[in-house]
Amino acid sequence: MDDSSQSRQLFPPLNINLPPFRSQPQQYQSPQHEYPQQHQQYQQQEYWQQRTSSSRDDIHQQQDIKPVMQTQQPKQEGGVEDGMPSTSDFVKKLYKMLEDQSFQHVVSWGPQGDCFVVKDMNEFTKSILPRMFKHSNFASFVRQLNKYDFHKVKNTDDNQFGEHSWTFRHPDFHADRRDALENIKRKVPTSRKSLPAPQPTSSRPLPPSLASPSASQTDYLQAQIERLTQAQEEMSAHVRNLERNYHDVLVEMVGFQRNMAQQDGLMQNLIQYFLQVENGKSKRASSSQQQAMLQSPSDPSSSNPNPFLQQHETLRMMNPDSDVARASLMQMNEISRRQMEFSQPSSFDDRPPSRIWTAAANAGLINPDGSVKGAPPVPSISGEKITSRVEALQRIEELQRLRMGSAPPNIPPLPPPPQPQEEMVMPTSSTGTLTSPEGTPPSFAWPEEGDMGQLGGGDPGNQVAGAGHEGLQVYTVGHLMPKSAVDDANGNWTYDPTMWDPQQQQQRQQQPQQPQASTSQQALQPASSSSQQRLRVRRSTYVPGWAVPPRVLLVDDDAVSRKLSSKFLQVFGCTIDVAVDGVGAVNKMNLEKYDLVLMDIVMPKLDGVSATSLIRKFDHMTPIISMTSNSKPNEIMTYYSSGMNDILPKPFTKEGLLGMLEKHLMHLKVIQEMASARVSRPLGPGDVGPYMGNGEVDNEGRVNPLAGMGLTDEQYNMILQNIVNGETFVGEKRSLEEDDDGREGKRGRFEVIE
Amino acid sequence: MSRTVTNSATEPRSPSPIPPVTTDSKSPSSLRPAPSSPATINMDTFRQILDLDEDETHDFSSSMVWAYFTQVRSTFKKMDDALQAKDLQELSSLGHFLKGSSGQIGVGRVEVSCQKIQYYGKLRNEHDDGDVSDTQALDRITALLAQVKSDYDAAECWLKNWYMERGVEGPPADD
Repeated sequence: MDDSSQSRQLFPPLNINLPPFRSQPQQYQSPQHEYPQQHQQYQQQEYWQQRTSSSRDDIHQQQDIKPVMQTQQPKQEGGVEDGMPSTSDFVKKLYKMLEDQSFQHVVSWGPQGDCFVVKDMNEFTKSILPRMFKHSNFASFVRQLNKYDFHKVKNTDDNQFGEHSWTFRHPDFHADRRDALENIKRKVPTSRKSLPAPQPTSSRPLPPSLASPSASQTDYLQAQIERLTQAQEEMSAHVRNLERNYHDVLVEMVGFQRNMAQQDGLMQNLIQYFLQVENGKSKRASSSQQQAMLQSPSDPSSSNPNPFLQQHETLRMMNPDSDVARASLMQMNEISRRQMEFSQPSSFDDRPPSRIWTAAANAGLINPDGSVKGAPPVPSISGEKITSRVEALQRIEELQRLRMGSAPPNIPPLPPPPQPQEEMVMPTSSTGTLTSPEGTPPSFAWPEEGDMGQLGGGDPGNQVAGAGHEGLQVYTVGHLMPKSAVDDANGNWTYDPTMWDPQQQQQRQQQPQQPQASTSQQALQPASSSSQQRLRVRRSTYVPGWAVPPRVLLVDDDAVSRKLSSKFLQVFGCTIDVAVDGVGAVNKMNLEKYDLVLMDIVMPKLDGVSATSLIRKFDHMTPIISMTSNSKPNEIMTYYSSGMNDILPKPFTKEGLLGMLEKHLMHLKVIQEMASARVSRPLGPGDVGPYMGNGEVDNEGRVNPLAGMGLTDEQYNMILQNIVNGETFVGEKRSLEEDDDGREGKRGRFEVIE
Repeated sequence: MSRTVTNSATEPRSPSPIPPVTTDSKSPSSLRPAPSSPATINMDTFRQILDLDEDETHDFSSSMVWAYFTQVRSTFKKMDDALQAKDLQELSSLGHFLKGSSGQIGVGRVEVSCQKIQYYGKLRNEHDDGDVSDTQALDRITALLAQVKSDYDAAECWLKNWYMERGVEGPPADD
């Protein structure tokens, strides 16, 4: 026995504590397949368990064979077998071993008798283990000890048995308390598993040959790994789930957006369709009404082929006495609103109660008669007149188109007389659209056009009650025109400067009335002067409509570039000041206030970067745009860091310059002013929001000029938006073809089918 | 493997979109930087100036062009002087100056050559950003100046011809 094979002690001292592992595989079924190596480990552990159990059998056998030897010990006279009948064999053997004086040099009780010490593990393994326990595996011995809840005692500094000694202790294992031995029981495997605490005593590093962590610790760690693995599994599943949900939501959102777009499109189509239907209806009904109109007191001169028409308005426009109109405008607003209130519930012969229709009629085809009559009790009359007016407008439009077709648009001397008047009639979109060839000057003005045409030949003294609406009509017509804009012929339309003098007079007459139409229009007036200037320029571009001519300081030392830039700026409706070098620029900036500075970089005396730096010391706001041909990245960085707001590479193009102006002078655009009637956001210089932005609606404080016509603010806003988005100055982003298409699409609404 | 196959499959396709661009680029000013000989006159740019004319007399554009002629000549004179004085800095800024107005009128070749003069005047090589020595720079600028002058003569001839065809009076005989 003593010389039993040493190879046994070379067995990997893997698992001292087996029971927990048995239950684990069942508990953590799912992760197991992911960790085959772990599974393998389990099997190995089971193997070890089998081994130990077999060795225990050996122990039992041994015990039977050698009881006598043990009983020879003096202290065990009472008979080991008899003295501790219920004590487990292992504990008994352990006790006996410790009693055996011949083993004292290898294993013995501790000094206090409350523990035992294996002083020489090698010797113990070689000689005692085989003799007492029939094996020579120290790890097995320790494992068994653990099973009986013996704990290894950490070696202390004062350990008198050397640092390679092993000390084990059990609360009930005392040298002088044999009776307590029966309390030492094999631990129950299941309950053992729940024991969280690994044996703290085993934390000390084991000798190299036995360097494995204690079984319970391994056990515990593995359990923890299992738990973590499981938790991680759950987490990742959760994350996957969330991702899937997120994806679903995204898809749904996209779907929603698409649906929204479709719905929008559908709504637009519907509205257009309804408008057309309503127009058709009104046309049908119009013939009789035209007759009525003919007999109306405001009957135009008989020479005019267009019999309809309230001339009051146009007459009114001609009428220098605009004070009357001004005074009556508010009143008229009120009256018309009341009238709308009355007339809406009542059903007219050919006028459906549709609100859309009403809005359109009001906005585009203002009914002056209604307001003229003003009397709530006669809503039906006003309804009729509205329709007749629609009809009249259509006619005019048609006629005008014919006229335009016959007269070559490119010949300035031949512009039909009515057209100039139309232009003056639309002050709101004045400067921009008026001058733009792709704009729609003739078409928008149709209501007045007819009137004016008659007026021109007719009786200016005819001005009567119409005075009141004038403001209203002017305003709305100005807006609606682009929408119903028709004439393709005016793509090439040019204005003869000579034609303009009378028109300008008229325009001036009209201006005083605008403020009443809407407060927002006030800003438009200053533009008229510059627009007149611009109108003389023949050119294939359109110009932005500035509320006020932007004041631009042009700084360039190159006379040719300066001349060209000046011309462009002039064409774009700016007032220009010039400096020829940086010093001049700084001085001018000191003296004057500009809306924009175009700054060359390379200049004598003071270059543009230095000049900008100087200017920025006292002027932080004015946009300064560098015009330069040196646009390497590092140079551009220099420009920006000097305080410049933007770069316009030289040689710049017309579009580039215009884009720059629009970007940085957004706040000066006419349309912006119009929009600001509803959009309360004030644009600072350099503010580069999209057109109209999506600013908040400021309902109070600003006047909805159509409120009197029964339009809600929302409807008014929509009209404005449509004008802005669809027809007005959108810069080079819009192509001529698109314009034409748009006009084609919208024209049908007011076309006369005869 | 399959990726390389698809790549090679798409490669042959890609050239097809490109040719239209290059053919387009004859006139567009956006591609002007291409050093390969630009047109004598960039018509896009020039037409832009013509658009500013109010009528068929081309008053504005012609006056601009005449002013440009005058400016170029005086600048050439200054450049000659600067070359004589080996004043590279001055040459560079004159090159820049002439580049600006030429580009604005649309005289492409002059613009490109002037840009080179501008760079060499700063002892920088336009293409590889490498430095050049004084003498190298002067040599190249001398050559470039001659080239610019002939390019300019061609452009002036073209422009004068263009206006003559349209019955516009030539530049005031100040030279």
